[in-house]
Amino acid sequence: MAHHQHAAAAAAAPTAAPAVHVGEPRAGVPGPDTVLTLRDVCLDILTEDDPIPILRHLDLTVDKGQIQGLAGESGSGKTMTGLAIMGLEPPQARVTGEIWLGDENLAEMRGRALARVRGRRIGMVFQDPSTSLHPQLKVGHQLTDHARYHLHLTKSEARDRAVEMLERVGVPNPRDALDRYPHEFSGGQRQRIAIAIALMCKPELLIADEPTTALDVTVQAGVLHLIRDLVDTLGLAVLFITHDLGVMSAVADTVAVMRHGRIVERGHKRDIFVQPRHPYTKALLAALPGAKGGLTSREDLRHMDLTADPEIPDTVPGLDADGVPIPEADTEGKEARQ
Amino acid sequence: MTEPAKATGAEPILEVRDIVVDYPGHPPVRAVDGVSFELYPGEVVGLVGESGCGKSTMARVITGLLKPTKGEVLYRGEPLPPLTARRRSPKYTGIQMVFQDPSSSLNPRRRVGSQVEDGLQAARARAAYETEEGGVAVGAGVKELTASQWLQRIGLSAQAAGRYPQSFSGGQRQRIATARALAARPSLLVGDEPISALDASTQARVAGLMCQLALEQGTSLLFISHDLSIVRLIADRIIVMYAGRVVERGRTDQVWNDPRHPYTKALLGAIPAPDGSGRMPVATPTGTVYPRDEISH
Repeated sequence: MAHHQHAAAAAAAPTAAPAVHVGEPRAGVPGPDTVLTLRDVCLDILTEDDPIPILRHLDLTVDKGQIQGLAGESGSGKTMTGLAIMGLEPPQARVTGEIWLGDENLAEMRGRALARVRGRRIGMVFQDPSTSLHPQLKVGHQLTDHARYHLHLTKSEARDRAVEMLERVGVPNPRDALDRYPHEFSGGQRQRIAIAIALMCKPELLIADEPTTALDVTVQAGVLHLIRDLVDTLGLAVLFITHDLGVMSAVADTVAVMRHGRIVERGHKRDIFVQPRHPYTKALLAALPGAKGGLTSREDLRHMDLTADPEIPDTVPGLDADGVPIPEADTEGKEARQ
Repeated sequence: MTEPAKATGAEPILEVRDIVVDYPGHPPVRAVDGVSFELYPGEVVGLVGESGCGKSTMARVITGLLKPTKGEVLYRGEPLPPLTARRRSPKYTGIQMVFQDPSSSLNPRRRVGSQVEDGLQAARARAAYETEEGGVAVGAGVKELTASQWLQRIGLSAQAAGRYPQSFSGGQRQRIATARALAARPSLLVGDEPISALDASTQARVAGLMCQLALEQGTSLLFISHDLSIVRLIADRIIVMYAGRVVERGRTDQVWNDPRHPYTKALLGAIPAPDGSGRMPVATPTGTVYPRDEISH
């Protein structure tokens, strides 16, 4: 296939860090390089009636120098997972379980304590840079504001660091860029600026929620290269949230697949994409062009039940999806590997 | 893959000739800069390109939603009048469109059955008009389905007709929009990014269903998308747009397997494959500008 040949030219990017255990599906069991550990995290939205479960018993670790992918379709809870880690869940949400960043349990932290972590030890990049950047503030302001607060830098120190970061993420003419507004940059450049903002305080963990979904594919490729490169050179730990399994396959080291607020399958990227165990993962991949055993022609579509939504029953499932049976291949898969 | 109908000497259903569209501004923005192509009966053509290449502008021109600055659109050999506040002749309901966002293109306050019924009525009105004019209606001889039959055809229950759009998922809504459009028995269905708001697992199915249902009743499909990996599954021909121009066109297998224009090559190389290989998509250096001259197969 044509794009494979072209892609081969750029295949220099390493697929996984050399450390032996990177990528082992150790659910919630921290190792020496573990930056983030979620243990039995549940999130419910409290209502006047019964609480509505959104996240169910999540266990997850993210290691230094590793991109942990979190895949899933709309409503699976992947974005809420990222928000819960940052303590940015909606006010009516109740989070239980443990969220360890190093030796601090974020789930027990509130207010100012959490504010000291957020933006400093955890950086976050969102889907759409045209809304995540403030349209009326100069880029320089947005880069330096939180860095001055967290790191007590002077104005000029902060600007110097901002220039360094913009250079690092590949924004041309970084010193001039500081005095410009977000609208003066293209979508890809804006997302690079958003990444630079997230990296200003040299965080241990970067949460990237659909960071390339709003970008064109040719621009997306550049941003994916950048994120991979930052992980490999800075030893950053990244939780990479996306619905796009092509993107996931390109950048992630390990992948967790979410559905209805649970992780249904996890493992090294190669295992997930080549030998998926869970029926949901299999169904997801079978419906994609370019996946192993996925679609390649109109002929393949002809053999498919085009009107079926195997993963979605006739109407939108309620948020309380406990009524929908989910085969638990997860635990099975883990044991098989150990 | 079927040969384009061009080879059989059939008349094109749609011809666009040297379309230029300027959007007002200082200076005006030229969104489309001299685009020409034809669509033949019963073929599926993919129009691909990235944001700002002018592909959605073309969709608006073809359906008459936008009057081009220069150039003309011929529908079944006659110039297409732009859509105005006045009702157009029923003849032009032979062009139907499916939009990107099904949550805004279906009316949230009407039951979906009655929205599909709109399509059926458009088909009846056009059939009556064309019989009067002595022509033959497209899809004549194909059995007319009722609204609830259409809904069953797209995989919903017969009871779905009585529900409102909000009770359906994105993929289901987009299938309902497709049913509504095809119920009008169009000779041309234009889909403007009809799958980009859907979950990945639903995208190929919805695209495949649009393609299959359109072909069943002899409707040509112009499928506009930025996603080449889906387009190549359904299209007979692919037209690649870049910066307001067509830069490459050809049969799907030619464009996919043997892209000739540097832009098409970059576009194909940048598609990440979900194969677990960890192969990184090829990044284009920032600020790369490609030639806008067309390379044909």
